Amino acid sequence: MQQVPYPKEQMHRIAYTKLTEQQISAKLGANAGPTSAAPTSGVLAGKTLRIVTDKGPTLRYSFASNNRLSVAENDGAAVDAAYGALTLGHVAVFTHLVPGTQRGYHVVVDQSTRLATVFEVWFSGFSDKREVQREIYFGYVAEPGKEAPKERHAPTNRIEGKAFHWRQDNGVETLEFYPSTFYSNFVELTRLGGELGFCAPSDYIKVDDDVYVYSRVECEFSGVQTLYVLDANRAEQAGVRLGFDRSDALEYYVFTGRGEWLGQIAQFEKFGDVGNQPPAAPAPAAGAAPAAPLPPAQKGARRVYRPMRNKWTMTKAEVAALKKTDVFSGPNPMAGNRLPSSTFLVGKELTVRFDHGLAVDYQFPAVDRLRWRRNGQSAWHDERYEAWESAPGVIMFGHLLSSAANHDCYKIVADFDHGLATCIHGTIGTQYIANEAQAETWFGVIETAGTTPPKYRRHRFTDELLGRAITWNYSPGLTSMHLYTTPHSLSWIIFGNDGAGGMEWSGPASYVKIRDGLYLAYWLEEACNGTLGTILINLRTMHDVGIGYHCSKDGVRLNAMGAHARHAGQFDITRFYSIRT
Amino acid sequence: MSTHEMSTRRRFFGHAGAALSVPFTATAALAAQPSIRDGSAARLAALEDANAIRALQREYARLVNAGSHAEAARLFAEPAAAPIDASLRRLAADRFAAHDVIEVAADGATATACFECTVETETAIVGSYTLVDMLRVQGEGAVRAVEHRALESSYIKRGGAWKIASLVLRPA
Repeated sequence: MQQVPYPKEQMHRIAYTKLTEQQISAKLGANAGPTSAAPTSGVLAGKTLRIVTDKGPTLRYSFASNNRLSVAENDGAAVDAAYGALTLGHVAVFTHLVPGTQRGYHVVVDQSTRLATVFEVWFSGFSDKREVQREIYFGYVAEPGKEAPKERHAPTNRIEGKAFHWRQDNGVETLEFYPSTFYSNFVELTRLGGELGFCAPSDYIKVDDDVYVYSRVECEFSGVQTLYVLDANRAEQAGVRLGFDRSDALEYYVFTGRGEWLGQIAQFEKFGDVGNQPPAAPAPAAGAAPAAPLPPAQKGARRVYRPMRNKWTMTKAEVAALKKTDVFSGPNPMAGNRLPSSTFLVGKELTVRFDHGLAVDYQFPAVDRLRWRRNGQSAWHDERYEAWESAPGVIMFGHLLSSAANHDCYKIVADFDHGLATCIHGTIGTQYIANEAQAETWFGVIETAGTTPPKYRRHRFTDELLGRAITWNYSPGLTSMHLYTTPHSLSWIIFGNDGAGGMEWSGPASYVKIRDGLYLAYWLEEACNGTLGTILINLRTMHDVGIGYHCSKDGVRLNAMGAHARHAGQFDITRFYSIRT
Repeated sequence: MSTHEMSTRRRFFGHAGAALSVPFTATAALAAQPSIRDGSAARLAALEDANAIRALQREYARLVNAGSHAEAARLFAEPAAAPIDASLRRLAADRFAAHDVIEVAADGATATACFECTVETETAIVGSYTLVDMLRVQGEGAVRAVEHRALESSYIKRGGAWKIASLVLRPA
């Protein structure tokens, strides 16, 4: 009997229903309030609260019991609603919907300071109506005869770089990483079997030095919101989940959880920058249109990466008809810090023999021209290639296979000291998107005059990078960080000009150990823009070499990659991925 | 300000900043110069030319800093050939530049100048790559830099007014 509930489709492949406003209203109307696996808190029962926010509503609450309240927004009439409340030390969090609407509130109250953070949430605020929208208001609990506190909760980067393993009271287990100031990465261990990590726009609010509010909305997926108060010292959480799951059922529950701190990776903001200021919109270059204006400051606005809305997908016929190629054609921003091309292969003849039976003969007449043929065939094919020597005797080279059925490419790492070779075979076209790349890994050996390759030894898949975070500076202004959150996926985080972690996304990935400290990694930008990225990571030189493989209406592109690396740290997560009986 | 007389051109070394951004009040300062008290009309004309060129450069900097490249181009003798550097966000004179110079030809019809300045540039990262796309969505995607440059320019007088004939910002 299968014990791990692997989904038939991973989150990025699920065609979530485009729920209508009417469908959402019907589902919300039938809801009796948030559920909870454990008893909720009665800390608010019998109390009244008047919560004043600086730029939002004033909310007057009267809590009749531990699951019924009445709420009046500003000067409006009070309405009764179901609610759920939990506490985490001195902090209470409660949630309710406003009956007859698609709106609700998640409220965090620090009972020791009277400070409050209010998340107003609603559906049908975006073209994907199931996606939870939120606006955050900071304020306080007003008490007669007492002055309003001057302090406020505030956005923060003080938990940037942390990660936790969370186990909720309902049995849900996740790994959650906060490598950015407005995105996060989460691995659903129990819901999805933990194969891949996914990313979501997130909010981080500081309550005090121990306690923070975290909220994410799974934009471009289900649109579900997960919000919780977390105590970083005690590794405890209390929160709420709201949204529609993959079967369109309403998830609305409160939960507590216990966690385990998994580590802390580096931050790259200037010392003294605690992230309590909203990012400033950069001014456009004089005389130039703004490269990327921030979303207008409308209610609920946030920075969200929505790659599938960029109209980059093609039909099978369009892909089949593609003739244009762009193979290592010149400088590009992903290769500003690339290694120089290697002449190691020039003049050599060799065969790369793979274990599944295919063997490829190569001749390298020039630093940028090679000839290849399938072993046993007579016809040679000429291709443009690039090669780099990442470590002594280890060459990475790549080329297209002109006229191949699927615009195939080979990206090969050849270790001449050991006679070993590994090929990432890229092809264009998946069952989901016609111009999306896919990859397979072939292990094999190098046969050339004067060498005897090993019969059994091969490069091998590895988990040695798991949990690591490595920054990559490709060229001025273009720096990302790889975060290896599962053995089969990779997340990339874009740094802002202020050094803060920013936009983040992820994709399936694979890792091969070439030598100690030398790893071949690929990732697929599935449901993103279809690129297959492949890099050879040298942890001794902290440099990579690599090749991007991409198909668009402009043709099939192979481009060089190369970046300077910094090690940002490592999370302790390997144990979550061992196969247990 | 000091002035030096040359055989074919009049060279004016000066307080750099005045040319690009500081309002220039020439009259009193010039009146105090021994050379002016000599009453040389040619020398006075050259000084007035230098002042006019400074004013022209000041206006050029103002327009560039305002993003009004088209208006800045109209300060050139050939507006269509005016260099437009879209990456240029701000141009400011170095306050204590020691090597600024304006040379006015003896016939008073042409001039050259060199000003030390600081430029702020913002150059968009181009290309269709995932990381670049994400940077743009993030509201960034450009490389900003602040550099010292030498503004080297030449001028021509047309209809009694100075126009910029050429202008280039070279690495200082």
